[in-house]
Amino acid sequence: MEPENETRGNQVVMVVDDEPYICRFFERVLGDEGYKVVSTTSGRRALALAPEIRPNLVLMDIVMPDMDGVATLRGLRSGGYQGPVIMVTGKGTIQTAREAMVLDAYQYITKPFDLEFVRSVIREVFRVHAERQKEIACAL
Amino acid sequence: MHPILTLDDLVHALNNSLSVISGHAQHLLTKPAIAGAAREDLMIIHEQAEHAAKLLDLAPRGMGQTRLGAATDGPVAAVPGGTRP
Repeated sequence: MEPENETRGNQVVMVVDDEPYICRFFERVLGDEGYKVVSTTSGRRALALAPEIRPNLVLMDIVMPDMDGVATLRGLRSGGYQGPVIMVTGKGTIQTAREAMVLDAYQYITKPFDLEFVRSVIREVFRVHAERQKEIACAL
Repeated sequence: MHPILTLDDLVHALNNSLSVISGHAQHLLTKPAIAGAAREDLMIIHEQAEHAAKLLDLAPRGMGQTRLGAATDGPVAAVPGGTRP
């Protein structure tokens, strides 16, 4: 494993998407990048899992049957999760994804995925989040 | 899995399936071990999935809430497309 990937192995990414094969796609891609990936097909399950696995990043689908992505994000925030969230959306729900940015989602990515874009967005989110954490630590 | 009741639901489900096809093809294309004819075939799968997604973008948005299966007086199906083998 590359040194950079070893560092990523400490980073837990939670994937929330009601389509199991999309979860699997992220498991494969992010696993290859060295991240630890935990996925679930249910927003409610994500809320139960988050305190247990303490994710460093959440990838969240918007359209889900039991609890949609925006409601799940709201639940995560009220449960104390302060880390970055990337909303995953089809083109028909881009407006909803933009609304989710108000709930402090960092970014959104659209389906179908461009693999390089997905990778670069995730790296960027981790980089920006780490910088913000440093700024907060320095300010205290 | 979301039940497919309207045109929007249908577009969403098809887009999800195309994302799975295209995403997995792109992921496999990052593997140097996949070469030659297999690689060319995967590129075709990826390109065609992207092409189909662009065609899907042409679906008339104004009809998005049109209910499907009206002739049968009910939803077409709640298709369990994501069941793992």
